[in-house]
Amino acid sequence: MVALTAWLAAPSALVAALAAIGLVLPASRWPATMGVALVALACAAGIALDQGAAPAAAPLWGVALLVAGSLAERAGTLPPAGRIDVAALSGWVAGLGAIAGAGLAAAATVLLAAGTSLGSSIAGVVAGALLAVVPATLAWRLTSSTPRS
Amino acid sequence: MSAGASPTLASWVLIGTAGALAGVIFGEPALIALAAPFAVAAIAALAAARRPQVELNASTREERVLEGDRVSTIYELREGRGAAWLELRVQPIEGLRTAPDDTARILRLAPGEDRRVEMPMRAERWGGYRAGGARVWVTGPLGGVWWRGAVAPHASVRVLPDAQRLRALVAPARTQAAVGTRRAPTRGDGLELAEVRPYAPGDPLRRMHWRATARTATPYVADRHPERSADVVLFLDAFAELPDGAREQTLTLAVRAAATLAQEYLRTRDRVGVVRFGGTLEWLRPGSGVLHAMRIADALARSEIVMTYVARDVTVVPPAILPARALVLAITALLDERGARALLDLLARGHDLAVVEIDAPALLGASGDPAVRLWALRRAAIRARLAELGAVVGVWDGAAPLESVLREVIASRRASRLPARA
Repeated sequence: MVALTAWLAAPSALVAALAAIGLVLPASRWPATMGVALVALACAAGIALDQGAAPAAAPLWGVALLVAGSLAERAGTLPPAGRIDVAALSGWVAGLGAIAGAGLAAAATVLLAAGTSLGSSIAGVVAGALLAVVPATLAWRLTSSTPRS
Repeated sequence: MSAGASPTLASWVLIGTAGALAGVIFGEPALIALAAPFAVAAIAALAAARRPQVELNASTREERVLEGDRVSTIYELREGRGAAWLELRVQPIEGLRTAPDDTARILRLAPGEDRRVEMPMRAERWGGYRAGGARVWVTGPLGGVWWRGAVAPHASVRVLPDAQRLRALVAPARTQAAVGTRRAPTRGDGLELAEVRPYAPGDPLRRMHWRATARTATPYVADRHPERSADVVLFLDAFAELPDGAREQTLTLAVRAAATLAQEYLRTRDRVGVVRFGGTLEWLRPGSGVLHAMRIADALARSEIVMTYVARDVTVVPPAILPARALVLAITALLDERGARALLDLLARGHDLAVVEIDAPALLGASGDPAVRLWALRRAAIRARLAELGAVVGVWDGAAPLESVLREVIASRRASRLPARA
């Protein structure tokens, strides 16, 4: 859906190629290709936004890609056979829903703030925060999971 | 447990940071909005990831089962901090088949919750196994970071070969001194009448045969056969040089035959011992009783095919293991010269020997190939040599019941004037 709407919004060859890569790669069922497919689809959406697609679509595309990527990843890493407790499944779906809601709210806030008179400043602050927080969290997790001697 | 990123976590981080950067560079807030959900997901997943405290103990409900029986592995799980998504993947074991639905379980554990998961398996092949091995994958409700660990299998299960019931057994030529259920060829106190003969000085009065004495007016006594037990030693030849499938089939038939014979001889209160002749020579002293039956079953379940050039001699077996008056029942596929030589040695030592030969060419589906014909001739020569020295050989292809082969052996032993019982 994201690939189709992005291509319809900006029908260029590059968007079509990236969208096709993003749709075909997960068929290989190799876990590493899911990340590549997700990046390809996000690039397609980004290029479509840059080429004139409505900015209001950005939060929806972002959340849709996040949810689709998570679903594909979980489907790809599940054991080939076995049984799942309903509590585990519902817990995971709830977690995914919560993160999608939070992501949608964050993306919408960015767009709303960008529409105000202080728009570019706020967008810059948000971008800076994302650029700082994501690597900082990653670094913190890496150091906290490494055993110290 | 070791931590690892999920396949999409790197892409979340990349899209989140690259989108924010591109938004700033191109002055396009929509790009930041596109990247924001990924950035939020990455931050939340990384911040929420906590090293799990999984305790996993595995045990089996049954320690000894028969082929075809069900074996239940019980996994006891405890997670100190709680796990939103815990995957328990059972390590497959050759010989114990798990139903597809019972190969993995995905659970949610509350903090401090104990969970007992039972994974049933079916014992398909006799042998000793270690069950309870599993891999455990844990992640939080948001995914992103996975913790993986494994538990080595340590719960032992012994699958005993399934034994048939027999109505005929090869009777030992000689019995032991202990009281049993077999008619001894000697004379003494017993139930079965051996002979009525004229009285001789010294014969006890209670042996008088009054009816014969009254009819002939001459004193007669009745001689009887005493009831004694016998020693039976099962000689399992574990040498094999065959293609994989046939080799496995040969050993399986041999072990099943040995298990059946051990069970039936023990049932008749004989003492049964086992000698496993392969690269290593292992034995079990003749004994009787339920515990001994379990010891024999365990020993047979440990049998393996031996591919070795080590040559051992039966002379290393202590006389207590191979008593002089014991019936040696050899179960062999006659595939190895060393096995055949050991049988000839036993005959030379004066043992009462009967052989159940596993028909390896039939199991192989051997054709009219000249090499196969030559092999068949060599086997026939060994068989003839054994027969010449007094051993009776019955050939078993596994398709017919073992009892039919034993009946052939019994008949042949009768024909060669050796005592036998059906």
